[in-house]
This record gives sequence, structure tokens and C-alpha cells, in this order.
Amino acid sequence: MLASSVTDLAAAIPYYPVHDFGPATRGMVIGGLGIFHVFLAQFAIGGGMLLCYLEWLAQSGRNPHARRFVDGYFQLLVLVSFVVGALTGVGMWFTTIQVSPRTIGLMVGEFHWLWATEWTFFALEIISGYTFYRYGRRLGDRARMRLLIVYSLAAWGSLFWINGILSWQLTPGDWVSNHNVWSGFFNPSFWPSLIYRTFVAMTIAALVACVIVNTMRDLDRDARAGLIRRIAQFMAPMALMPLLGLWYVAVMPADSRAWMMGGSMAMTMFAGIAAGASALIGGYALLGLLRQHLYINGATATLLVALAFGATGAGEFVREGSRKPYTVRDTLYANSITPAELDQLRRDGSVTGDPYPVKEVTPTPQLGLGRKVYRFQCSVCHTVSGANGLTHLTGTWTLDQQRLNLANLQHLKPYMPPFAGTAEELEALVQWIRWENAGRPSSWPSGTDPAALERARRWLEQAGTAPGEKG
Amino acid sequence: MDASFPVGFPGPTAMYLTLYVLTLAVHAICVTYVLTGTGWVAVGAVCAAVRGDGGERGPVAVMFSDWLPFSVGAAITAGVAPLLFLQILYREAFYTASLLLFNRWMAVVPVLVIGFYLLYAGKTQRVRGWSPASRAMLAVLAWLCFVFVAYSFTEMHLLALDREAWVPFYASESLFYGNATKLPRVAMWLAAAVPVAVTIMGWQLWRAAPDEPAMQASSRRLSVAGLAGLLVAAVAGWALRAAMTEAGRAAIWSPMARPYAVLAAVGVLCLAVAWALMLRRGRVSSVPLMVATAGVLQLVIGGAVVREAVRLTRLGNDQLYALHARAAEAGGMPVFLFFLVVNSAVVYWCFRMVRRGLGDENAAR
Repeated sequence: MLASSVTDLAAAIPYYPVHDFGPATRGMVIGGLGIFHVFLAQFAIGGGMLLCYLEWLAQSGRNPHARRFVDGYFQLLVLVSFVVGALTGVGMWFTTIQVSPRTIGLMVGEFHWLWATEWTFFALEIISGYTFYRYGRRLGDRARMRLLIVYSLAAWGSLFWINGILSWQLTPGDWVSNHNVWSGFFNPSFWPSLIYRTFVAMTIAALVACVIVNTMRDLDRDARAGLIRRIAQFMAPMALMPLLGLWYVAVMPADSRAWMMGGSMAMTMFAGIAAGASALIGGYALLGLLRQHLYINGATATLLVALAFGATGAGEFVREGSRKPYTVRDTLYANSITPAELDQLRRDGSVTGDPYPVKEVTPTPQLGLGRKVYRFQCSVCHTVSGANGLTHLTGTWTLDQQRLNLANLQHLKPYMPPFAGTAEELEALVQWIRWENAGRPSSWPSGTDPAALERARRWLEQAGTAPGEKG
Repeated sequence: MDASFPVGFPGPTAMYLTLYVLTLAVHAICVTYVLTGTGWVAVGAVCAAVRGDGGERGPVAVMFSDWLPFSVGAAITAGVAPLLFLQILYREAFYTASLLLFNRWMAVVPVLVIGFYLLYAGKTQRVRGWSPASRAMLAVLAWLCFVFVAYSFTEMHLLALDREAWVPFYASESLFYGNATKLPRVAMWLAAAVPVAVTIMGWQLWRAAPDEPAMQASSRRLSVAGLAGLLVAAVAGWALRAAMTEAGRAAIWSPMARPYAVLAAVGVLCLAVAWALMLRRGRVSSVPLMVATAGVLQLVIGGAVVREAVRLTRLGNDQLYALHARAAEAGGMPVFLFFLVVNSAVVYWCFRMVRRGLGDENAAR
């Protein structure tokens, strides 16, 4: 139990150096790598299960070509998944630190023993996998099967542990009140997420397998068709994915569900892409491959793999986006500020203690302060004028509208966290955005109108520090 | 700190430090194999290119090439655990240094991927058919990839220690962190990696066929490399000590680190004696290898603790220890210990099963 963790977060606000990724948001950087890693990791997990199945087919005489496929497929699994998959996994640590050191720090602090447990499974996966890769062809049936089962269970075990930690971010459940690690781990979205990911892993592995079967030119078409029919059976659980999707959506927090269901156009669109691409793959697998026994050629299989990648990417976007305005629900906002710190930051200023200077030269100190406030509070999701750029979002607002909207961020858009600074900082941010919108002129008037500051102060007070809610 | 590591620390800090040092030692041993192995293969390939021959490589180069992809995987896998404990022990310093050198972090992963695939490529028949110059270039490139990663980690470690440099470094927008100890430190680690890696290779050679003439020639090369590595590491270590601050030097010989500094020195002595003996005999043999292995363990664990002592002198404080105490309240440790034991047993079972399987195959032949 870690009853003091959240209040401890508020004890001292850590300031970290922040980098600008140009037109890309920091979220896009981790998203790009994350989607790639998730896809490869799921391929490795499903691959282990598929290989067990095919090895069983070979050993029981049900498919004479399955064994050759197993040995060839495993080469690919090692070369692609072990190398790039494992390295992008390490890359995820580094990238997460770049995006939000406080989030990863909280996750490690709360779940490091479970993360260490996951590592024991990962190590077992790599060791058993390499052992099979190196010696599998020289071993008897029993040893081969046992090694593949160990590999498969270890890979899935790794998913089991990491799934609990990741799903905790969106649905921490009772952990918010009791801070018990198991309440957090077995959170409301744990099971739907785990089962869903397991089925996705099986599907990805089967689709990649269909591509590989088409490269086995020394097999005639009937032999390849026989293998594909067997492999296609691995995609049968896709029939349950709509139900699992509904289960997942049902356990999501109501506001997160609302973003997906039309509250946020981008989220709705990506959820639609994920569902649509999955439906296309599932339809082809269930109706074409399993029911009609159609043959799938390499080009079509590759296209379906690409669709699966698109579905994974869109799904991960929705999963990440639906956490907003939090990075850990009810605990840590996306900009690494805790709800408990807001009052203090409103009183003392959000960047008063930030030791890292602004690198850009600005005509007035106020603009430098505005830039610093943007860096601390906004830059995790927004750029200046690139993706989700502030100049695009606020460029047409009037001066007072900018002040009012920024003071009321969480009410303007409930997936935004509340503004976390003083009225002076808000005014500085407004002036800096206007200066950027004006094309960064060499001189700029100081916006220290006492009446404007008073209005900003009043609006901040009216907005409060609680997250935005409907009604 | 008047007590020896980790006794003088509060319980949670001592626990995390011990876990960190032990997992780091495992990671470091894998890393030494990768750095030295890729270096060995690269030197061999360059020599072959200079001579203009495309002849057979020696048994050591062949064995290194064969095992390097796996050892990179092992090094990366083993590196995850210390990375986890590092975040608990020195959260702010580690994250800040990682952020300040973000360009390097973004480069490390692709560079590792390239290095990894170059090692696989080096094993293929197609590459074996290339000209000696092309093969040398590929081998050198693979080695440089891993040296780059080692260099980047060293630089990040040093920046994490230098709290006063964080803000100026951020403002400067520099890509490299300058520190007088950086190059001697990198040189010391690279050189010290050689005796560790050749000890592992010594065992591999011993298992293969130690009495064959080709193996004996390789044994002599391993011995010379191990002794040369120790010598260069000692010179680089002396240069490193000279470049360190007075406080850093004092930390090495502080009560916290002194027994481990002695342990590391004894490890060096063991390695020197063992490899000198094997050089004289002209072959690897089990008893000197056991002495060398004991030396490796002493050197790696002693070195890791001394490194930590220097870091704790810079970063350790009550606030940090309080964070460790809070982290230790997190649940799940029994589960971790349970699966550590179970999964270790499964690994052992897999190895035993494979050994038996290969034994059956040999018997059938």
C-alpha cells in the first residue's frame, strides 16, 4: 500500500528541461514509436501461440508442411520481433522520459515490482526464444514443443503484466482511494484490454503468417492453401472482438467514452478507423478464409497486415487520447501537474521555480514568461504553430476572449486541464501567443493593464481548479 | 558515510542499491562481451583486409561472430532491470540527464538496431563472399555502433552527476557534455571489458577443444588481449583518477567504497595471474579460468560499487532516501521474488532439456 504517493507528488514540483520537437507534439513522438512497438510486441505474442499450434499440427501429422513453416517463421520472429521489438521496447522507456518524466516516475514508483516481474517473463521469453532459434532444428518433438510453449507463455505473461500497468492509467479504479497496487493492477479495464490484446496478437501473427506462406515457393498451391486454412483458424476469435470492444468502452470513464462517441472529432474518427479496419480484417478472415475457404495471396495478406497496423495505430491513439485531460486518471494531468498542486500554482505561479531559461529571444520579459508558461503547461500536447498549434487554435480569438478561454480551459474543453498559474502568467501567455500570431515582431507592448489583470484574476477564480464536467 | 556499502544506508536505499548493483553487474558482463567481441571481429577483419587475404578467421573470431547477436539481446534484456532500479534510486538526476541529452537517446535505439542487424548480416553467406575490405568496413561499423552507445551512456551518467551543469547545458543547446573525466572513463571501461570478455571466451574455447593447435594459438591471443586490456585499463584508470575532483577521489577510498575498491584490485590481480599463467602454458585450462572468473566477478561488482559510491557522494541526501522509503512501500515484491525463482527455474529446465536433446542427437550420430 502506498497511501502517501499522491500527496507526496505535491510536496515538491519537479521541473525538468523541456525540448521542442518543431512541428510535432511530444505525444506524436512517443505515439509513433509506441504504435510500432505495440504492433511488433503483439506479433511476437501471437507468433508464439501460432507456432505452438502449428508445431502440434506437424507433430500430430495433421499438416506435413507445418514444421518447415515453424522453423522459417521463427527466423523472422527473431530477426524482426526480437531485434526491433525489444529495442523499441527500451526506446519506449527513453521516449516516455522525453515526453513526461513525471508520469513514468509515478508508474515506476507505484508498480516497479510488477514491472520487475514483467521483466522476468521478458527474459524468459528471450532466452527460450533464442534457445529454440539456435537449437530447435536439432531437438526432438517433445523438447521443441515444450520450448515453444515456454516461449509462448512467457510472451503472453509479459503482456499480462504490462497490460495491468498501462490500463491503470485510464481506469485506476479503487487505487485512487486506497493506493493498493493490486487495486490499480486489476483495474476495471484490465480484463477487456488483456483479452482484446490477446486476440489482436493472434490476428496479427496469423496475417503475417499468411504473407510468409506465400513466400514458400517450394510448396505447391494446395500445400500453401492447406497451411493458410489452418492459420486462418487463428483469426476466429476476431468474431468476439466487437463484444470485447463494447466491454472496454463500457468500463471507460463516462467523459472518456463521450470523447470517442462524438465529443472529440479526432477521437471519434480514429475510433472509427480502428473499428472499420478491424471489421474489414475480421470480415475477410471469418467469411472469406474460414467460411468460403478462399485462398489469400501475398499481396492481399500484406494489405491486411497494413490494415492491422492502421487499426493498431488508431486504437492506440484512442487509448492514449481518451485519458485526457489526465495521464493518470484523477491523479496526474497530461501536463504533469497534479490536481492537488493547482491551488499552490495558482497562488505562487507555475514557473516561478522553473530554473531552465527560455532559449528564444523575446522583446519583453513578459513574453519570455509567456513562453515559459507555454513550455510548462501546454507543450506536451501543443506546438506553437505546427500540430495542434496554439496559433491555429487561438489565432482568431479576440484579446479578451483569449484571456477568458485560457482562464476557463477545463470548461471550454473538458479534455483540457485547468490553467495552473497566476493571472500575470495567464496574461503573459496571452501576450506571447498574440506575439507569435503577429509573426514575432521585434517590439511588443507590455500587457500590464491592471483592469485586464483583474478580469483575468476574476475569471480564474470563477473557473476554479476542479476538472471540467458536464452540466 | 562511515560504514561499508550498503550497510550505512537506510533499509530501502540499501535494498534498491543492492538490486541495482547486482543487476548492473549482469548487464555489464554481457556488455563487455559485445564490446570486446565486436572489437575483436573488427580488428581481425581489418587485419585481413590489410593483408589482402580473405582466408579463414580464427576460432575466437568465429565464436564471437556466432554468439554476438545473442549476447546483444542478452545485454539489452539484462539492461532493463538496472534501468528500472536506476529510476527509483536517482529519479530526478537520471531523468534530467536523459532529457538534456535527448538527441542521444533518440539516436541510441536506431544505432543499436543497425548494430544488431550488422551482426546478423556478418553471419550470412552473402557477406562472407564480400571482399575483405567490405567485410572489414561492416565489422568496424558494427563495433562503432556499440562504442557509440557505451560512450553515450557514459556521458549521460556524468551529466547526471553534475547538477550545477544542468541549467547551463540546457541553455547552451550543446549536443555534447564536456567533462575532463569522460574520455579516460570510456577508455577505462573499453579496456577493462577485454579481460572480462576473454574470460568468457576462454570458457567457450575450453569447452570446444582446448588442445587443438588452432585453439592453442587462439588461447595465446586471448591471454595477450586480456593482459593488454588490464594494462590499458590501469593506465586509463590512473588518468581518470587524476581528472576527477578531490571529492570524487576521496569517494573511491571512502569507508563506503574502500572494501570494494580492494575487491576490484584483487579481481585485477586474479585476472592478471590467471591470464599470465595461461599465456605461459599456451592453452586455456579450467583452474586458471576459474581464478579469472573469480577475478571478473570481483572486478565487476567492486567496480560497480565504487562507481555508485562516487555517485552517492554527489547525489545522495536525506530527501532522496525518503523517496526510496516511499517507493519501498509499493506492493508486489513477493510476487516479483516468486516469479524470479519460478522463471529462473524454467530457464534452467530449458537449458537442461536442450542439453539432453543435443546429447541424444550426438548419441544417435
